[in-house]
Amino acid sequence: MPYRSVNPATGEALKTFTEHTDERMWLALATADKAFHAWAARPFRERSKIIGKSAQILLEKKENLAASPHWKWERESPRAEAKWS
Amino acid sequence: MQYFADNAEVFLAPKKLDSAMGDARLEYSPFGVLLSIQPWNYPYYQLARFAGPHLMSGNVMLLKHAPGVPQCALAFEQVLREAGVPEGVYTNLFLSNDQSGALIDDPRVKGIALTGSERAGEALASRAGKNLKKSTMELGGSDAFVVLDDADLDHTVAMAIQGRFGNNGQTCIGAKRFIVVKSMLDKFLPRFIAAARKLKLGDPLDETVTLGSLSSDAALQLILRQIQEATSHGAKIALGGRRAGEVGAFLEPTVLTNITSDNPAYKQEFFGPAALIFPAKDKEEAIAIANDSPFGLGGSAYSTDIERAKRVASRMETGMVFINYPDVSLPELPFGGVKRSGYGKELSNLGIEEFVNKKLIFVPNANLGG
Repeated sequence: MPYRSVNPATGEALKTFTEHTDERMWLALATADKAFHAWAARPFRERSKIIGKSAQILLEKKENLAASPHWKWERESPRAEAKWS
Repeated sequence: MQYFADNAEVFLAPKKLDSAMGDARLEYSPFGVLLSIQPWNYPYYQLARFAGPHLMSGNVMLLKHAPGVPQCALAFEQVLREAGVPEGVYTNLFLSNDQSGALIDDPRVKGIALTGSERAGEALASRAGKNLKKSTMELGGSDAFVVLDDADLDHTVAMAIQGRFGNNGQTCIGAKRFIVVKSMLDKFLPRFIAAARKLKLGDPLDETVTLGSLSSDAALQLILRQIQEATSHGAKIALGGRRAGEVGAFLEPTVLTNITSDNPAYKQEFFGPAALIFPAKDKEEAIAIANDSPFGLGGSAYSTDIERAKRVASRMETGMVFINYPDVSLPELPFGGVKRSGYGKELSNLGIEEFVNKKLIFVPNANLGG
């Protein structure tokens, strides 16, 4: 099944992505497997800094993420609920 | 995510265990690569509530998001990259179901988490089981909203509207079955219908709109078929029941009554703005109807006597029950269901513990023998 952004209020197809190839999938798994030991070996405070930063960026960008005209229809819900608080 | 950034170290600190037979301690270590399959209905939040705890515990993940929200999937991955999450630690993949299955079979994948449909749950849980891999399944629900005879009517009606029509009725833990004791039915139902009728359909980016469209035309067609099937088995439409307008996947706010236990709707999840009403003779019958469901995700009970509502909650066969509130999910509270709503928990210390090895290290006393 292709990955498609469709505006459910109009039926308009906005953007389509093809599925990743098997080759890309296995490469992603190998990369993840390789990344695991270094990530797990990091002290909590280092991981905490990065995950905390992710949370901060999400909050900073929430208006854009929730309402970008290019992909707004991936969230058909009233905008307040497409954000997170 | 911030909650787990702040609390993961405390949750996963080694714990001393009480044993008279020696020195016992529990250590927590991450599994490795997790495969996470997430749904479209909260397209960022679902990713955040998985990535937050399980990246903090030291796991890494491959993320397969729902096919309808690819741009959210990419935007979220981009945010994590920008924050400094290294390559390979969080990877978005656009995959077919067959490809997901092949990943589960690979020994490098150590755990599988799904939030999605029962159909997907059966396929993925059995594949994980065949490989003897840990999995968590957050599936559908048909949560009961139990109105007791001493409920505060204004509040209960407002909560019923929020619980059923929030996110356009497309929430796994939304209120779906309204079980009302008979003495309250004539007071509750007309007010609930009047409030549902007032919902304003339209463009969800318009802040005055209170009900948007369903996620897709397929979702609309499914719920229209369910309504049709329900009425052909004797259900009555008290409100709505039809597609709204000619463009887009809009359903009128819908209320169905007269649903007997042999009606297919009695045991179905309605994933959209359609409420099912069930009168109950008394509190006992209300609990019996609430539990007569294949699902067991959440539920709620309404009463001005909180202790009484809590006693009802204790008897409801679900993973979560809320009192005088339809549903809520907070990072410090465990989220998950029983029965065909799945197994395992998300969020809280229970969620983060799903994908870590809880390893015992034990030094027996010298006189243990053996």
